[in-house]
Amino acid sequence: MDSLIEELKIKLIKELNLEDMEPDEIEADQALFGDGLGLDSIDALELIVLMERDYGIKITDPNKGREVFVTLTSMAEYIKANS
Amino acid sequence: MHILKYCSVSDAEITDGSEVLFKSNEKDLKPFLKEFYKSEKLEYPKFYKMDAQCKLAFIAAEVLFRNIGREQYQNEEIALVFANSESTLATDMSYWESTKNIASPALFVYTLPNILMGEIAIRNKIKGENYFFVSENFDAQLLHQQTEMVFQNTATKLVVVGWVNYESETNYSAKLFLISKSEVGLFPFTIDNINNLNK
Repeated sequence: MDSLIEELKIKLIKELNLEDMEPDEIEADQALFGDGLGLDSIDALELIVLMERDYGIKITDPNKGREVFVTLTSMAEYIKANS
Repeated sequence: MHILKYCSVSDAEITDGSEVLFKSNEKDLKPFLKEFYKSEKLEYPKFYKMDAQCKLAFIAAEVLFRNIGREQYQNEEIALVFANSESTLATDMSYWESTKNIASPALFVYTLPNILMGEIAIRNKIKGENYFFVSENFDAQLLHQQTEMVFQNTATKLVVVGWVNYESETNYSAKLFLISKSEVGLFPFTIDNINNLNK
């Protein structure tokens, strides 16, 4: 689980162009949207693409997306349970 | 109408009026702009998410809006009149490539040229009129005519007139002019003066 979270941190920085950030600066339980990491709606779409392209997981229900993309921990748990 | 200020970004060089503000050894646009962004300690993380053409426009606007007394103008009193020749062709091509796998939403949002005006407007809190034209070459007459029309028909007091064109990492240019409705400024806003300053 920890290695998957570390992998997700690196992917997030690369795919979402968070160039000012280092993996260590992102907490596993930090909120990805809102006051946390401050991701926006386009980033949410990129996360959906990332899940499908890299882990073969399709997220089509917006409510499911809200649950999955809360934190890196919730993303990792969903990947583990569904891939 | 008068030109209050002008600046340019091309060939790894940023000028503020006639003065060279920054010069880089980086041959490619994106590392060159990143170098400037870092050296100026700008803090706007969204910069990293922009495509190259938006980054070019954004940095040019950062220079243009320095020390102009922005607070004198209401957000609705500033308009944007921009043009280029490439529209967003480079990003269109990148987006097209991405559609062969899974289309990238982050690329898609940059496949309209007026997005660069949006980035400038958000950063500088501009809520006035905005126009983007695609013309084969820099067309001072078109920009002049449109600016004149904006001043005549709206409450605009300040217009950012811009040419922002990105073809590749080594072939790009941004030229921005700040035009005031008043009769005071560096130069009268004439077609000849725009052409002369664009050289």
